[in-house]
Amino acid sequence: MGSVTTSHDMGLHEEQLAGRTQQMYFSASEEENYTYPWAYEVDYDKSAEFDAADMGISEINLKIRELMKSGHGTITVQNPRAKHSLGVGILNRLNLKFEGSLGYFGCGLIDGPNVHITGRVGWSCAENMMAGTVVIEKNAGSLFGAAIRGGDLVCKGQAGARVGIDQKGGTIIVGDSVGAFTGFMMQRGRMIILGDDRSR
Amino acid sequence: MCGIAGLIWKGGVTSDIGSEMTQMLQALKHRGPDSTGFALYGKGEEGVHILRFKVAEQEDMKTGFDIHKQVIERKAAVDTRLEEMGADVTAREDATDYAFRYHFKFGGDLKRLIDFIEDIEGVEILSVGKGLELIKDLGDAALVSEQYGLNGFVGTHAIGHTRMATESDVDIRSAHPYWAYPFNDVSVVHNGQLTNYWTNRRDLERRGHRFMSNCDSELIAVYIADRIDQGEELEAAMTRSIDELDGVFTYLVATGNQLGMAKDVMGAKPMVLYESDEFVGLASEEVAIRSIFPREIDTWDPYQGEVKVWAA
Repeated sequence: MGSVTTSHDMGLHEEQLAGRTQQMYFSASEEENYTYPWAYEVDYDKSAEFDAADMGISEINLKIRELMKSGHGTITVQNPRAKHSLGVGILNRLNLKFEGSLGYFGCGLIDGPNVHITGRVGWSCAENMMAGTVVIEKNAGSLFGAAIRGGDLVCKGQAGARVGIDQKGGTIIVGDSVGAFTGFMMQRGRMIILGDDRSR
Repeated sequence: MCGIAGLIWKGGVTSDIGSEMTQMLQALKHRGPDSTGFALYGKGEEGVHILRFKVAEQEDMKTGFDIHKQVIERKAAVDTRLEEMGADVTAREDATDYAFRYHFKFGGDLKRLIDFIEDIEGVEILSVGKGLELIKDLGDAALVSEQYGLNGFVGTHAIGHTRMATESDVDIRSAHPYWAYPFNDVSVVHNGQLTNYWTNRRDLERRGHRFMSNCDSELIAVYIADRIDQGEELEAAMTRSIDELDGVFTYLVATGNQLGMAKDVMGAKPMVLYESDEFVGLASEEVAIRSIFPREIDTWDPYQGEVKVWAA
């Protein structure tokens, strides 16, 4: 990394961070940094879909993981019916599509997947996202993209209060208005709001 | 945390709101399992008041020795006082061992009648109204609905609440909804905390309003009742409350023919809104609205400081 002195050079610590980060000592050329050691090998052309109408939350999330394990790179979930905590903790390459709306905490703690949601999302969508893209066709609730550190988050409709609260990286784009305390405690990253800031 | 829900069918359409509200509240059970309450608005009969009251707490019924005798005595005292005041009771139903539903005709001062009945120890009037029936008890929505036979209740609009007790005890007295004593047909459910509760409560008490519990949500009901009493429209009263009540709150108010929602200036508490030409549904979480509309619908979150009112 040239002449930049990093905490590694100074011998403060030796461990290598995984995932993408904005810290200078990150080496983009090392391909192993793009995937977790335990990531599943998936093929985008291998697709699967399932109906989540009568499934529980854990059941749906486990089903997504199973499909990734068996190499499916494109997964479509039908009828999520605004259930909470769907599509969370995915640390993998994946094309994930929800045909419908998600409840609270949808797609939280993700690192890598490209998610498309045709409905709306409730509170705290994509909270703490590290990388990847999340595109929402309709509206979003409050706390949209809370504490995200990377990736692109797009809501084509309006979002509630506290959009990008504690944001530390990445990009949030909202097609319509946002509510009170948008960007509260935001430290880094980009936020593009095409509508009004309703807190003023 | 608490969960709140409301629904209204527009244009005088009626539906099985008992089952609909039960489903919505059952979907919100995880937000508060302590108690569940319903304020259901039926069509009612001209000139007939519906009285819902209780004479003991569920807890008392399980633990007390004398309570079963007291329940009978208290109920008899209510009957006597109704008769003394000249109220004509046309129907009596036992909803449970300790909660009752009366139909009565009365031409006099309703507030005096209510005060006289509530003066009996242990008796609390849950609601009086031409259309309103207020039911609340410990347990989840399915349990309370079953216990009070609410499935099949036909009406135009309803509000409901699942409670996680934070500010006061787990009992029926502190459960929502609150009826806006002594006004026919006004009820409130609330999710949040009020921080200027005592200031407002003392103010309202000085003006002759009564409080049955120490629950901050009751204040909203009494506050709205006070404003309506002073001739304000529901929407104006609610808009004023945004400034005058401090804290974090989202609340729903229902009257004989209206449903209203208000959200505090910080937008701290959730509310999801679905509106179509014939129906409006509101809930803390979209899953509640989806429990009666499984198909894909367009919903959004109202912003901070917003007040909305719909008519049946």
